[in-house]
Amino acid sequence: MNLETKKIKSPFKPDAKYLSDLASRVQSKVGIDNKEIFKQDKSVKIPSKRKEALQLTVEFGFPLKSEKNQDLNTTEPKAEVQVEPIKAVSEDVLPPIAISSDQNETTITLPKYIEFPYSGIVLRKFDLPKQEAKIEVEEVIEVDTVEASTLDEIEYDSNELDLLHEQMEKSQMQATTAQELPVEKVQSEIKSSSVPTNISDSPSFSIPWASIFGVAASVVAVAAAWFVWNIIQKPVAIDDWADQNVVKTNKVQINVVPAANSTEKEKVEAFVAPSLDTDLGLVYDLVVEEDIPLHRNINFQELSEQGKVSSVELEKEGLLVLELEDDIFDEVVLEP
Amino acid sequence: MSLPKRSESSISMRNHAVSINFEKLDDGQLIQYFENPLHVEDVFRELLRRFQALIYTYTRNMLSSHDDADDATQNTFIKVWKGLPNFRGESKLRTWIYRIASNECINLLRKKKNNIDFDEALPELSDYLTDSPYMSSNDIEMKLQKAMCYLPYKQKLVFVLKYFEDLSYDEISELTQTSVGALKSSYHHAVKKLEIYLNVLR
Repeated sequence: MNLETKKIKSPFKPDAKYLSDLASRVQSKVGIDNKEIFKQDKSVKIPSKRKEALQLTVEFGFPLKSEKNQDLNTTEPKAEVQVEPIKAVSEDVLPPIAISSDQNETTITLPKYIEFPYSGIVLRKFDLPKQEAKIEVEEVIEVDTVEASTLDEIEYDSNELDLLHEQMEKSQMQATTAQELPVEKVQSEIKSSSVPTNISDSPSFSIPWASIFGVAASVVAVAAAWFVWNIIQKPVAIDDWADQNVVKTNKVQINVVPAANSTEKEKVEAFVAPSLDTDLGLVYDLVVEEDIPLHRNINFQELSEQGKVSSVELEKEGLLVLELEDDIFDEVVLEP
Repeated sequence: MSLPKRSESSISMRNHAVSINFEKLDDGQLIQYFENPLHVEDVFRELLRRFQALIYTYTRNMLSSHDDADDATQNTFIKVWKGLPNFRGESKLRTWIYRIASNECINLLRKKKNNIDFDEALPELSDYLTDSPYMSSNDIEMKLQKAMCYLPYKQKLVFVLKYFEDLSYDEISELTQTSVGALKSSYHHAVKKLEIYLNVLR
């Protein structure tokens, strides 16, 4: 365990109540007014309102029995919703209308006396050919609104009025049916029909000014950066840089030629001993000597820098224990 | 224990004193207000607020016993109250208070044991580490406390001031009147011994 890297806290943690008590004792001892220094946590905890327990379990499959041992499928019948089928739109239900066809568009004109209840756009279904056909999904119906002034001027006899009334009722009923028809249903039906489109998309060519400006701005930015860099810091030639950073070392060559018939210990000694400083005699002892001396008096301050570093490293590795002098510092004396 | 009473005039004038938020002042600024009789008590209370928990923890680390730490902390602040008028500001306020607390710990140990040698460890202090109030039950923290009891008292002092109280070597040097080099060496050896002890206990 490394105490330097892993910080261990003190286990002693006085609480605010104790500290407040101690502070009041100190204040009374020194003879000053006793005031509360450490604010204690006096907040009252309000018990939270108990909530109903929620069932968090998930059951797979069909639950057959409830907690009360009742058959859920039989005791609580499911509410059945009957969905009426959507009436299809056909030409039959649409009101009789006058159609006048021009060259490009079809205009449907309603009789004057029919009050068309809608805004003007009606979806109509067409019988679509299966292959290669033009589809017009929507058709604009121009509704001639009836002005009050013109209505007053028209005169009707009783038969005409009956007929008119009949047609009005019929048209209203048909219009109501058309309103209930969901538009999406019709659209989806049209989309689902497999009709190949012969529309050729010819892309329109336009100059991408934004891209051009972006590229140009990037080039200018790089050029500016290069310019500034050259002004600020002139690049050093590689050779100069290398010359500055070379650490010159003095090689010490020790020519050691152990005798052919020397022992193992003598061979090791021959290699190690000439390369050791006198300060590193400890290492020598450890490497060469068979009997490692348990105690050796070293004056740490008289060692060279290298020797000091070496001995600290040895101590870190557990190979050496440096004992302290007893009298490190004088005893602490309280000022009078 | 008879303590010096502040003058009646200072007490009567307190009612007219301008309220100052002492919590925002640093130690040096706070001490300057101690010279003003109108603020003496408030300054002392602020010192208590700032240092009481620190000094309790420090003395507890040194003595292990809650009762001894309580006595040492109380005596420390009584001596701070008595010594503050003479505090010359040559050292930092924090260092000065820690110095008084260190002396209180030594005095308490001397009262408990005659002919105590502070170059030796005091392993009997580890007896206070069981069933003691205001102490967490963290295993590694307790092992370290136990290991600290086997350090020579002077090494323990340096270790506690550096490791737990985060005092700089200069501050500890000022407190113990010892060279920084000797303190570094002492701290280094204390850490090594504790690491060996903790590894053995693991």
